[in-house]
Amino acid sequence: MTELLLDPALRTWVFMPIVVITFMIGVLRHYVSLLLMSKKKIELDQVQDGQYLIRSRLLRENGRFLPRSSFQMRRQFLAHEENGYLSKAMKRPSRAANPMADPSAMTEMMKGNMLNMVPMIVVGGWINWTFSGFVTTRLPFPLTLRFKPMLQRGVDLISLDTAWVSSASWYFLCVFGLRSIYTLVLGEENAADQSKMMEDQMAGQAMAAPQDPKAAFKGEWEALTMHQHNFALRE
Amino acid sequence: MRFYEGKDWTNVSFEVGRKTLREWREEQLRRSEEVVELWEHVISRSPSALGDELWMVYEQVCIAALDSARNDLALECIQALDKRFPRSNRVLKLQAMRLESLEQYDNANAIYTKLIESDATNNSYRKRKVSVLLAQGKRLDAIKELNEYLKVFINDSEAWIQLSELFLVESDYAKAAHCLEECLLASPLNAIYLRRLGDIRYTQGGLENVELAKSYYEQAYKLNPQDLRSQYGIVLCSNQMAGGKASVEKKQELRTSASAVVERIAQRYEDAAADGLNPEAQNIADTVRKMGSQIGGK
Repeated sequence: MTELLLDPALRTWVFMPIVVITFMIGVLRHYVSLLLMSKKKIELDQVQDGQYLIRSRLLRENGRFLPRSSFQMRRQFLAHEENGYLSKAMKRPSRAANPMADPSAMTEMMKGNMLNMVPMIVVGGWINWTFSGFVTTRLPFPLTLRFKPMLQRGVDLISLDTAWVSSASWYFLCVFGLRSIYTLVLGEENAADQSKMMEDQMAGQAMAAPQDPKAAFKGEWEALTMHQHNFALRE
Repeated sequence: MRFYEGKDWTNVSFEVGRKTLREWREEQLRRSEEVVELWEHVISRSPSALGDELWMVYEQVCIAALDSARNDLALECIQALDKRFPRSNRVLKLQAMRLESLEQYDNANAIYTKLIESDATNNSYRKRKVSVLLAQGKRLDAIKELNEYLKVFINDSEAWIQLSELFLVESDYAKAAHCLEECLLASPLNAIYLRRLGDIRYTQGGLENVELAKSYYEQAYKLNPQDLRSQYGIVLCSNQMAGGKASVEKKQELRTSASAVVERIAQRYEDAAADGLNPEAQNIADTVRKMGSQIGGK
Protein backbone atom coordinates (compact mmCIF):
# COMPACT_ATOMS: atom_id res chain seq x y z
CA MET A 1 0.00 0.00 0.00
CA THR A 2 1.74 3.13 -1.14
CA GLU A 3 1.53 6.05 1.19
CA LEU A 4 1.27 9.21 -0.79
CA LEU A 5 1.41 12.57 0.83
CA LEU A 6 -1.00 14.94 -0.86
CA ASP A 7 -0.49 18.66 -0.96
CA PRO A 8 -2.72 20.33 1.67
CA ALA A 9 -3.50 22.97 -0.91
CA LEU A 10 -5.43 20.22 -2.65
CA ARG A 11 -7.77 20.09 0.28
CA THR A 12 -8.55 23.78 0.20
CA TRP A 13 -8.69 24.33 -3.50
CA VAL A 14 -10.09 21.09 -4.86
CA PHE A 15 -11.82 19.02 -2.24
CA MET A 16 -14.02 21.66 -0.68
CA PRO A 17 -14.84 23.52 -3.90
CA ILE A 18 -16.13 20.35 -5.50
CA VAL A 19 -18.41 19.70 -2.56
CA VAL A 20 -19.65 23.29 -2.58
CA ILE A 21 -20.18 23.29 -6.34
CA THR A 22 -22.11 20.03 -6.23
CA PHE A 23 -24.30 21.31 -3.46
CA MET A 24 -25.06 24.58 -5.20
CA ILE A 25 -25.85 22.86 -8.48
CA GLY A 26 -28.24 20.58 -6.63
CA VAL A 27 -30.08 23.45 -5.00
CA LEU A 28 -30.25 25.26 -8.34
CA ARG A 29 -31.67 22.16 -9.97
CA HIS A 30 -34.34 21.95 -7.30
CA TYR A 31 -35.57 25.47 -7.92
CA VAL A 32 -35.44 25.16 -11.68
CA SER A 33 -37.47 21.98 -11.54
CA LEU A 34 -40.05 23.73 -9.39
CA LEU A 35 -40.43 26.30 -12.13
CA LEU A 36 -40.54 23.91 -15.03
CA MET A 37 -42.44 20.88 -13.81
CA SER A 38 -46.21 21.04 -13.99
CA LYS A 39 -48.32 19.83 -11.10
CA LYS A 40 -49.71 16.34 -11.40
CA LYS A 41 -53.44 16.44 -11.78
CA ILE A 42 -55.52 13.38 -10.91
CA GLU A 43 -58.77 12.72 -12.65
CA LEU A 44 -61.98 12.12 -10.76
CA ASP A 45 -62.59 8.72 -12.23
CA GLN A 46 -59.08 7.62 -11.29
CA VAL A 47 -59.88 8.58 -7.71
CA GLN A 48 -63.13 6.71 -7.92
CA ASP A 49 -61.45 3.60 -9.28
CA GLY A 50 -58.84 3.69 -6.57
CA GLN A 51 -61.52 4.01 -3.91
CA TYR A 52 -63.47 1.05 -5.23
CA LEU A 53 -60.36 -1.09 -5.28
CA ILE A 54 -59.70 -0.20 -1.65
CA ARG A 55 -63.34 -0.98 -0.86
CA SER A 56 -63.14 -4.40 -2.40
CA ARG A 57 -60.01 -5.17 -0.44
CA LEU A 58 -61.60 -4.01 2.82
CA LEU A 59 -64.64 -6.12 2.09
CA ARG A 60 -62.47 -9.18 1.74
CA GLU A 61 -60.39 -8.47 4.81
CA ASN A 62 -63.10 -7.37 7.23
CA GLY A 63 -66.20 -8.93 5.73
CA ARG A 64 -66.26 -11.50 8.47
CA PHE A 65 -67.74 -8.90 10.80
CA LEU A 66 -70.83 -8.57 8.69
CA PRO A 67 -73.72 -10.99 8.63
CA ARG A 68 -73.95 -13.21 5.60
CA SER A 69 -76.72 -11.32 3.84
CA SER A 70 -74.92 -7.98 4.12
CA PHE A 71 -71.72 -9.46 2.81
CA GLN A 72 -73.47 -11.12 -0.11
CA MET A 73 -75.23 -7.91 -0.99
CA ARG A 74 -71.97 -6.02 -1.12
CA ARG A 75 -70.24 -8.74 -3.02
CA GLN A 76 -73.01 -8.68 -5.60
CA PHE A 77 -72.74 -4.93 -5.87
CA LEU A 78 -69.07 -5.12 -6.65
CA ALA A 79 -68.57 -8.37 -8.48
CA HIS A 80 -71.87 -9.23 -10.13
CA GLU A 81 -71.57 -10.60 -13.66
CA GLU A 82 -73.39 -7.85 -15.49
CA ASN A 83 -73.77 -4.93 -13.18
CA GLY A 84 -70.99 -5.21 -10.65
CA TYR A 85 -68.65 -2.25 -10.51
CA LEU A 86 -65.54 -4.38 -10.76
CA SER A 87 -66.95 -6.41 -13.63
CA LYS A 88 -67.77 -3.29 -15.57
CA ALA A 89 -64.36 -1.83 -14.86
CA MET A 90 -62.65 -4.99 -16.04
CA LYS A 91 -64.39 -4.90 -19.36
CA ARG A 92 -63.45 -1.33 -20.14
CA PRO A 93 -61.48 -1.00 -23.38
CA SER A 94 -57.82 -0.88 -22.52
CA ARG A 95 -56.24 2.48 -23.00
CA ALA A 96 -52.85 3.16 -24.56
CA ALA A 97 -50.61 0.47 -23.28
CA ASN A 98 -47.32 2.26 -23.25
CA PRO A 99 -46.07 5.74 -22.38
CA MET A 100 -45.02 6.37 -25.97
CA ALA A 101 -48.58 6.82 -27.04
CA ASP A 102 -49.41 9.21 -24.21
CA PRO A 103 -47.86 12.55 -25.09
CA SER A 104 -48.22 14.41 -21.84
CA ALA A 105 -46.61 11.69 -19.75
CA MET A 106 -43.85 11.52 -22.30
CA THR A 107 -42.94 15.19 -22.04
CA GLU A 108 -42.92 14.92 -18.25
CA MET A 109 -40.43 12.08 -18.42
CA MET A 110 -38.30 13.91 -20.96
CA LYS A 111 -38.19 17.04 -18.85
CA GLY A 112 -37.25 15.04 -15.79
CA ASN A 113 -34.49 13.22 -17.58
CA MET A 114 -33.10 16.36 -19.16
CA LEU A 115 -33.11 18.19 -15.90
CA ASN A 116 -31.06 15.50 -14.24
CA MET A 117 -28.72 14.20 -16.85
CA VAL A 118 -27.63 17.40 -18.56
CA PRO A 119 -26.26 19.26 -15.53
CA MET A 120 -24.54 16.16 -14.28
CA ILE A 121 -22.75 15.56 -17.56
CA VAL A 122 -21.88 19.20 -18.08
CA VAL A 123 -20.55 19.79 -14.58
CA GLY A 124 -18.81 16.44 -14.50
CA GLY A 125 -17.02 17.24 -17.73
CA TRP A 126 -16.03 20.69 -16.53
CA ILE A 127 -14.64 19.38 -13.29
CA ASN A 128 -12.74 16.73 -15.15
CA TRP A 129 -11.21 19.36 -17.39
CA THR A 130 -10.44 21.85 -14.62
CA PHE A 131 -9.15 19.58 -11.91
CA SER A 132 -7.18 17.12 -14.01
CA GLY A 133 -3.78 15.66 -13.74
CA PHE A 134 -3.71 14.83 -10.05
CA VAL A 135 -5.27 12.52 -7.53
CA THR A 136 -7.63 14.07 -5.06
CA THR A 137 -8.40 11.49 -2.46
CA ARG A 138 -8.05 7.87 -1.51
CA LEU A 139 -10.92 5.46 -1.27
CA PRO A 140 -10.86 3.38 1.90
CA PHE A 141 -11.53 0.09 0.16
CA PRO A 142 -9.33 -1.73 -2.35
CA LEU A 143 -10.39 -2.04 -5.98
CA THR A 144 -9.23 -4.04 -8.96
CA LEU A 145 -7.20 -2.62 -11.78
CA ARG A 146 -10.25 -2.55 -14.05
CA PHE A 147 -11.48 0.61 -12.38
CA LYS A 148 -8.28 2.50 -13.01
CA PRO A 149 -9.11 4.23 -16.27
CA MET A 150 -12.53 5.16 -14.91
CA LEU A 151 -11.45 6.57 -11.59
CA GLN A 152 -8.07 7.97 -12.44
CA ARG A 153 -8.70 10.06 -15.49
CA GLY A 154 -5.74 12.12 -16.52
CA VAL A 155 -3.28 10.35 -14.25
CA ASP A 156 -1.48 7.73 -16.31
CA LEU A 157 0.59 5.98 -13.70
CA ILE A 158 0.57 2.25 -14.09
CA SER A 159 1.84 1.52 -10.64
CA LEU A 160 -0.51 3.80 -8.76
CA ASP A 161 -2.99 2.06 -6.51
CA THR A 162 -6.57 2.12 -7.73
CA ALA A 163 -7.70 3.46 -4.40
CA TRP A 164 -6.31 6.87 -5.30
CA VAL A 165 -8.97 8.59 -7.35
CA SER A 166 -9.22 11.76 -9.33
CA SER A 167 -11.56 14.67 -8.80
CA ALA A 168 -14.22 13.44 -11.24
CA SER A 169 -14.94 10.42 -9.09
CA TRP A 170 -15.00 12.62 -6.01
CA TYR A 171 -17.64 14.70 -7.80
CA PHE A 172 -19.79 11.64 -8.44
CA LEU A 173 -19.38 10.57 -4.85
CA CYS A 174 -20.62 13.98 -3.77
CA VAL A 175 -23.66 13.85 -6.02
CA PHE A 176 -24.91 10.71 -4.33
CA GLY A 177 -23.64 11.49 -0.89
CA LEU A 178 -25.22 14.92 -0.56
CA ARG A 179 -28.70 13.45 -0.92
CA SER A 180 -29.40 13.49 2.80
CA ILE A 181 -28.09 17.04 3.11
CA TYR A 182 -30.63 18.08 0.50
CA THR A 183 -33.37 16.50 2.57
CA LEU A 184 -32.16 18.47 5.57
CA VAL A 185 -31.99 21.77 3.74
CA LEU A 186 -34.77 21.63 1.22
CA GLY A 187 -37.29 19.53 3.07
CA GLU A 188 -38.68 16.17 2.07
CA GLU A 189 -39.85 16.62 -1.49
CA ASN A 190 -36.86 18.05 -3.24
CA ALA A 191 -36.14 17.62 -6.89
CA ALA A 192 -32.39 17.70 -6.41
CA ASP A 193 -32.63 14.17 -5.13
CA GLN A 194 -31.53 12.33 -8.19
CA SER A 195 -31.57 8.74 -7.09
CA LYS A 196 -35.09 9.15 -5.75
CA MET A 197 -36.03 10.44 -9.18
CA MET A 198 -34.67 7.24 -10.64
CA GLU A 199 -36.67 5.15 -8.18
CA ASP A 200 -39.74 7.21 -9.02
CA GLN A 201 -39.29 6.53 -12.70
CA MET A 202 -39.20 2.81 -12.14
CA ALA A 203 -42.19 2.88 -9.81
CA GLY A 204 -44.05 5.13 -12.25
CA GLN A 205 -43.67 2.61 -15.01
CA ALA A 206 -45.04 -0.09 -12.75
CA MET A 207 -48.04 1.87 -11.43
CA ALA A 208 -49.28 4.43 -13.90
CA ALA A 209 -49.18 2.04 -16.83
CA PRO A 210 -52.78 2.38 -18.05
CA GLN A 211 -53.06 -1.31 -18.63
CA ASP A 212 -52.67 -1.77 -14.91
CA PRO A 213 -56.07 -0.61 -13.54
CA LYS A 214 -57.74 -3.24 -15.66
CA ALA A 215 -55.45 -5.94 -14.28
CA ALA A 216 -55.95 -4.63 -10.75
CA PHE A 217 -59.72 -4.80 -11.16
CA LYS A 218 -59.50 -8.31 -12.56
CA GLY A 219 -57.38 -9.40 -9.62
CA GLU A 220 -59.79 -7.95 -7.09
CA TRP A 221 -62.78 -9.43 -8.88
CA GLU A 222 -61.31 -12.90 -8.79
CA ALA A 223 -60.27 -12.62 -5.17
CA LEU A 224 -63.68 -11.33 -4.14
CA THR A 225 -65.58 -13.98 -6.05
CA MET A 226 -63.57 -16.73 -4.48
CA HIS A 227 -63.73 -15.42 -0.96
CA GLN A 228 -65.48 -17.58 1.61
CA HIS A 229 -67.55 -15.73 4.13
CA ASN A 230 -67.63 -16.79 7.78
CA PHE A 231 -69.46 -14.64 10.21
CA ALA A 232 -66.78 -14.34 12.82
CA LEU A 233 -68.93 -13.04 15.63
CA ARG A 234 -71.13 -16.07 15.90
CA GLU A 235 -69.56 -18.49 18.29
CA MET B 1 -70.72 15.49 41.10
CA ARG B 2 -67.52 15.78 39.17
CA PHE B 3 -67.58 18.27 36.34
CA TYR B 4 -64.97 18.33 33.67
CA GLU B 5 -62.82 21.11 34.93
CA GLY B 6 -61.80 23.11 31.93
CA LYS B 7 -58.24 24.21 32.05
CA ASP B 8 -57.73 27.93 32.15
CA TRP B 9 -55.98 28.65 28.90
CA THR B 10 -55.50 32.33 29.40
CA ASN B 11 -52.33 32.09 31.42
CA VAL B 12 -50.23 29.49 29.66
CA SER B 13 -46.94 30.37 28.06
CA PHE B 14 -46.54 30.97 24.35
CA GLU B 15 -44.65 27.75 23.73
CA VAL B 16 -47.21 25.63 25.55
CA GLY B 17 -50.01 27.33 23.64
CA ARG B 18 -48.33 26.81 20.31
CA LYS B 19 -47.63 23.15 21.03
CA THR B 20 -51.20 22.55 22.19
CA LEU B 21 -52.63 24.13 19.06
CA ARG B 22 -50.39 21.98 16.92
CA GLU B 23 -51.48 18.81 18.73
CA TRP B 24 -55.13 19.66 18.31
CA ARG B 25 -54.58 20.51 14.67
CA GLU B 26 -52.88 17.19 13.96
CA GLU B 27 -55.45 15.12 15.81
CA GLN B 28 -58.31 17.21 14.42
CA LEU B 29 -59.89 17.73 17.82
CA ARG B 30 -62.91 19.97 17.96
CA ARG B 31 -62.14 22.13 20.98
CA SER B 32 -63.25 25.34 19.42
CA GLU B 33 -63.85 27.58 22.41
CA GLU B 34 -60.49 26.68 23.89
CA VAL B 35 -58.76 27.37 20.59
CA VAL B 36 -60.35 30.80 20.47
CA GLU B 37 -59.33 31.45 24.07
CA LEU B 38 -55.76 30.34 23.39
CA TRP B 39 -55.58 32.54 20.34
CA GLU B 40 -56.94 35.66 21.94
CA HIS B 41 -55.03 35.56 25.18
CA VAL B 42 -51.80 33.86 24.31
CA ILE B 43 -50.89 33.55 20.67
CA SER B 44 -52.21 36.73 19.16
CA ARG B 45 -49.86 38.79 21.29
CA SER B 46 -46.95 37.82 19.09
CA PRO B 47 -48.21 36.11 15.97
CA SER B 48 -45.06 36.68 13.98
CA ALA B 49 -43.16 34.41 16.35
CA LEU B 50 -45.00 31.49 14.79
CA GLY B 51 -43.25 31.91 11.48
CA ASP B 52 -44.77 29.90 8.69
CA GLU B 53 -47.02 28.04 11.07
CA LEU B 54 -48.99 31.27 11.40
CA TRP B 55 -51.15 30.58 8.37
CA MET B 56 -52.20 27.13 9.52
CA VAL B 57 -53.00 28.58 12.92
CA TYR B 58 -55.09 31.27 11.26
CA GLU B 59 -57.06 28.59 9.45
CA GLN B 60 -57.52 26.61 12.66
CA VAL B 61 -58.62 29.69 14.61
CA CYS B 62 -60.97 30.75 11.81
CA ILE B 63 -62.81 27.44 11.85
CA ALA B 64 -62.91 27.45 15.66
CA ALA B 65 -64.27 31.00 15.63
CA LEU B 66 -67.03 30.02 13.20
CA ASP B 67 -67.84 27.11 15.48
CA SER B 68 -68.08 29.38 18.52
CA ALA B 69 -70.16 32.04 16.72
CA ARG B 70 -67.32 34.54 16.81
CA ASN B 71 -67.85 36.00 13.36
CA ASP B 72 -65.69 39.06 14.05
CA LEU B 73 -62.66 36.91 14.79
CA ALA B 74 -63.37 34.72 11.77
CA LEU B 75 -63.49 37.76 9.52
CA GLU B 76 -60.16 38.97 10.89
CA CYS B 77 -58.51 35.63 10.18
CA ILE B 78 -59.94 35.44 6.68
CA GLN B 79 -58.72 38.93 5.88
CA ALA B 80 -55.21 38.13 7.07
CA LEU B 81 -55.15 34.91 5.05
CA ASP B 82 -56.55 36.63 1.98
CA LYS B 83 -53.87 39.29 2.09
CA ARG B 84 -51.17 36.64 2.13
CA PHE B 85 -52.73 34.14 -0.30
CA PRO B 86 -54.84 36.22 -2.66
CA ARG B 87 -56.32 33.68 -5.03
CA SER B 88 -56.39 30.61 -2.86
CA ASN B 89 -59.10 27.96 -2.94
CA ARG B 90 -58.57 27.17 0.72
CA VAL B 91 -59.28 30.79 1.71
CA LEU B 92 -62.30 30.81 -0.58
CA LYS B 93 -63.63 27.77 1.26
CA LEU B 94 -63.25 29.59 4.58
CA GLN B 95 -65.15 32.54 3.16
CA ALA B 96 -67.93 30.25 2.06
CA MET B 97 -68.03 28.71 5.54
CA ARG B 98 -68.39 32.18 7.00
CA LEU B 99 -71.31 32.87 4.68
CA GLU B 100 -72.84 29.63 5.88
CA SER B 101 -72.62 30.78 9.47
CA LEU B 102 -74.29 34.04 8.48
CA GLU B 103 -77.07 31.92 6.94
CA GLN B 104 -76.44 33.21 3.42
CA TYR B 105 -76.83 29.72 2.06
CA ASP B 106 -77.31 30.56 -1.62
CA ASN B 107 -74.10 32.55 -1.81
CA ALA B 108 -72.23 29.85 0.03
CA ASN B 109 -73.60 27.20 -2.32
CA ALA B 110 -72.55 29.23 -5.34
CA ILE B 111 -68.99 29.42 -4.05
CA TYR B 112 -68.91 25.69 -3.32
CA THR B 113 -70.15 24.86 -6.82
CA LYS B 114 -67.40 27.01 -8.29
CA LEU B 115 -64.80 25.32 -6.07
CA ILE B 116 -65.99 21.84 -7.06
CA GLU B 117 -65.69 22.79 -10.72
CA SER B 118 -62.17 24.01 -10.28
CA ASP B 119 -61.02 20.98 -8.29
CA ALA B 120 -63.20 17.96 -8.75
CA THR B 121 -61.21 15.56 -6.62
CA ASN B 122 -61.30 17.53 -3.37
CA ASN B 123 -63.95 15.90 -1.24
CA SER B 124 -64.29 18.61 1.41
CA TYR B 125 -66.20 21.00 -0.90
CA ARG B 126 -68.87 18.42 -1.57
CA LYS B 127 -69.18 17.66 2.11
CA ARG B 128 -69.68 21.33 2.90
CA LYS B 129 -72.53 21.41 0.38
CA VAL B 130 -74.16 18.61 2.31
CA SER B 131 -73.71 20.49 5.55
CA VAL B 132 -75.42 23.53 4.01
CA LEU B 133 -78.42 21.34 3.30
CA LEU B 134 -78.32 19.97 6.82
CA ALA B 135 -78.21 23.47 8.27
CA GLN B 136 -81.29 24.34 6.28
CA GLY B 137 -83.00 21.29 7.66
CA LYS B 138 -83.47 19.69 4.24
CA ARG B 139 -82.81 16.15 5.37
CA LEU B 140 -84.04 14.32 2.31
CA ASP B 141 -81.98 16.49 -0.02
CA ALA B 142 -79.00 15.93 2.23
CA ILE B 143 -79.51 12.17 2.01
CA LYS B 144 -79.65 12.36 -1.76
CA GLU B 145 -76.56 14.54 -1.94
CA LEU B 146 -74.65 12.25 0.43
CA ASN B 147 -75.60 9.24 -1.66
CA GLU B 148 -74.17 10.89 -4.74
CA TYR B 149 -71.02 11.80 -2.84
CA LEU B 150 -70.57 8.29 -1.51
CA LYS B 151 -70.83 6.82 -4.99
CA VAL B 152 -67.46 8.38 -5.73
CA PHE B 153 -65.77 8.55 -2.36
CA ILE B 154 -66.95 5.23 -1.12
CA ASN B 155 -64.50 4.92 1.77
CA ASP B 156 -65.33 8.08 3.68
CA SER B 157 -66.39 6.85 7.14
CA GLU B 158 -67.38 10.32 8.30
CA ALA B 159 -69.92 10.56 5.49
CA TRP B 160 -71.29 7.07 6.18
CA ILE B 161 -71.83 7.93 9.84
CA GLN B 162 -73.62 11.15 8.91
CA LEU B 163 -75.83 9.23 6.50
CA SER B 164 -76.66 6.62 9.10
CA GLU B 165 -77.64 9.33 11.58
CA LEU B 166 -79.92 10.90 8.97
CA PHE B 167 -81.56 7.54 8.38
CA LEU B 168 -82.02 7.04 12.10
CA VAL B 169 -83.84 10.36 12.33
CA GLU B 170 -86.09 9.15 9.52
CA SER B 171 -86.47 5.84 11.41
CA ASP B 172 -85.16 3.86 8.45
CA TYR B 173 -83.27 1.32 10.53
CA ALA B 174 -82.32 -1.08 7.78
CA LYS B 175 -80.53 1.59 5.79
CA ALA B 176 -78.92 3.04 8.90
CA ALA B 177 -77.55 -0.39 9.75
CA HIS B 178 -76.24 -0.73 6.19
CA CYS B 179 -74.35 2.57 6.51
CA LEU B 180 -72.84 1.62 9.82
CA GLU B 181 -71.74 -1.71 8.38
CA GLU B 182 -69.79 0.23 5.76
CA CYS B 183 -68.00 2.09 8.55
CA LEU B 184 -67.38 -1.21 10.27
CA LEU B 185 -65.70 -2.59 7.17
CA ALA B 186 -63.22 0.23 7.32
CA SER B 187 -62.46 -0.09 11.03
CA PRO B 188 -63.71 -3.40 12.40
CA LEU B 189 -62.23 -2.99 15.84
CA ASN B 190 -64.07 0.17 16.69
CA ALA B 191 -66.25 -0.64 19.68
CA ILE B 192 -68.51 2.35 19.12
CA TYR B 193 -69.59 1.20 15.66
CA LEU B 194 -70.21 -2.29 16.98
CA ARG B 195 -72.32 -1.05 19.84
CA ARG B 196 -74.34 1.26 17.64
CA LEU B 197 -74.96 -1.52 15.20
CA GLY B 198 -76.10 -3.64 18.10
CA ASP B 199 -78.47 -0.86 19.16
CA ILE B 200 -79.96 -0.58 15.69
CA ARG B 201 -80.36 -4.32 15.26
CA TYR B 202 -82.02 -4.63 18.66
CA THR B 203 -84.38 -1.81 17.76
CA GLN B 204 -85.31 -3.50 14.53
CA GLY B 205 -86.48 -6.48 16.49
CA GLY B 206 -87.13 -10.00 15.33
CA LEU B 207 -85.21 -13.01 16.58
CA GLU B 208 -82.48 -12.93 13.96
CA ASN B 209 -81.77 -9.27 14.49
CA VAL B 210 -81.66 -9.69 18.23
CA GLU B 211 -79.19 -12.55 17.88
CA LEU B 212 -77.06 -10.38 15.62
CA ALA B 213 -77.32 -7.57 18.13
CA LYS B 214 -76.14 -9.85 20.90
CA SER B 215 -73.07 -10.91 18.95
CA TYR B 216 -72.23 -7.29 18.20
CA TYR B 217 -72.66 -6.33 21.83
CA GLU B 218 -70.43 -9.19 22.88
CA GLN B 219 -67.74 -8.12 20.48
CA ALA B 220 -67.99 -4.53 21.67
CA TYR B 221 -67.77 -5.71 25.26
CA LYS B 222 -64.71 -7.80 24.41
CA LEU B 223 -63.00 -4.79 22.89
CA ASN B 224 -63.95 -2.41 25.66
CA PRO B 225 -64.75 -4.14 28.97
CA GLN B 226 -65.71 -0.84 30.56
CA ASP B 227 -68.60 -0.25 28.22
CA LEU B 228 -71.76 -0.34 30.31
CA ARG B 229 -74.12 0.03 27.39
CA SER B 230 -72.91 -3.06 25.64
CA GLN B 231 -73.20 -5.00 28.89
CA TYR B 232 -76.78 -3.88 29.24
CA GLY B 233 -77.26 -4.78 25.61
CA ILE B 234 -76.12 -8.32 26.23
CA VAL B 235 -78.50 -8.70 29.15
CA LEU B 236 -81.47 -7.30 27.26
CA CYS B 237 -80.79 -9.41 24.20
CA SER B 238 -80.49 -12.52 26.32
CA ASN B 239 -83.78 -11.62 27.91
CA GLN B 240 -85.48 -11.22 24.56
CA MET B 241 -84.06 -14.39 23.17
CA ALA B 242 -85.04 -16.39 26.22
CA GLY B 243 -88.62 -15.19 26.24
CA GLY B 244 -91.17 -16.95 24.10
CA LYS B 245 -90.40 -20.05 22.13
CA ALA B 246 -86.86 -20.86 23.16
CA SER B 247 -86.15 -24.35 24.44
CA VAL B 248 -85.42 -25.00 28.09
CA GLU B 249 -81.74 -25.74 27.57
CA LYS B 250 -81.38 -22.59 25.55
CA LYS B 251 -82.97 -20.56 28.30
CA GLN B 252 -80.66 -22.05 30.84
CA GLU B 253 -77.67 -21.36 28.67
CA LEU B 254 -78.70 -17.77 28.16
CA ARG B 255 -79.26 -17.27 31.83
CA THR B 256 -75.82 -18.52 32.76
CA SER B 257 -74.03 -16.55 30.08
CA ALA B 258 -75.85 -13.40 31.02
CA SER B 259 -75.30 -13.83 34.72
CA ALA B 260 -71.62 -12.98 34.54
CA VAL B 261 -72.42 -9.74 32.79
CA VAL B 262 -75.24 -8.99 35.21
CA GLU B 263 -72.81 -9.39 38.05
CA ARG B 264 -70.44 -6.90 36.47
CA ILE B 265 -73.15 -4.33 36.00
CA ALA B 266 -74.32 -4.73 39.55
CA GLN B 267 -70.74 -4.45 40.77
CA ARG B 268 -70.30 -1.17 38.91
CA TYR B 269 -73.36 0.27 40.57
CA GLU B 270 -72.26 -0.93 43.94
CA ASP B 271 -68.91 0.77 43.48
CA ALA B 272 -70.74 3.93 42.60
CA ALA B 273 -72.89 3.51 45.68
CA ALA B 274 -69.80 3.16 47.79
CA ASP B 275 -68.53 6.47 46.42
CA GLY B 276 -71.75 8.03 47.50
CA LEU B 277 -72.31 9.62 44.12
CA ASN B 278 -75.64 8.16 43.24
CA PRO B 279 -78.14 7.49 46.03
CA GLU B 280 -80.12 5.15 43.83
CA ALA B 281 -77.15 3.03 42.88
CA GLN B 282 -77.73 0.24 45.33
CA ASN B 283 -81.35 -0.11 44.25
CA ILE B 284 -80.34 -0.25 40.65
CA ALA B 285 -77.79 -2.94 41.41
CA ASP B 286 -80.42 -5.05 43.11
CA THR B 287 -82.87 -4.56 40.26
CA VAL B 288 -80.31 -5.62 37.72
CA ARG B 289 -79.56 -8.77 39.69
CA LYS B 290 -83.21 -9.61 39.88
CA MET B 291 -83.56 -9.07 36.13
CA GLY B 292 -80.66 -11.40 35.55
CA SER B 293 -82.12 -14.13 37.61
CA GLN B 294 -85.41 -13.81 35.78
CA ILE B 295 -84.05 -14.40 32.30
CA GLY B 296 -85.94 -17.24 30.79
CA GLY B 297 -87.95 -17.64 33.91
CA LYS B 298 -91.75 -17.84 34.03
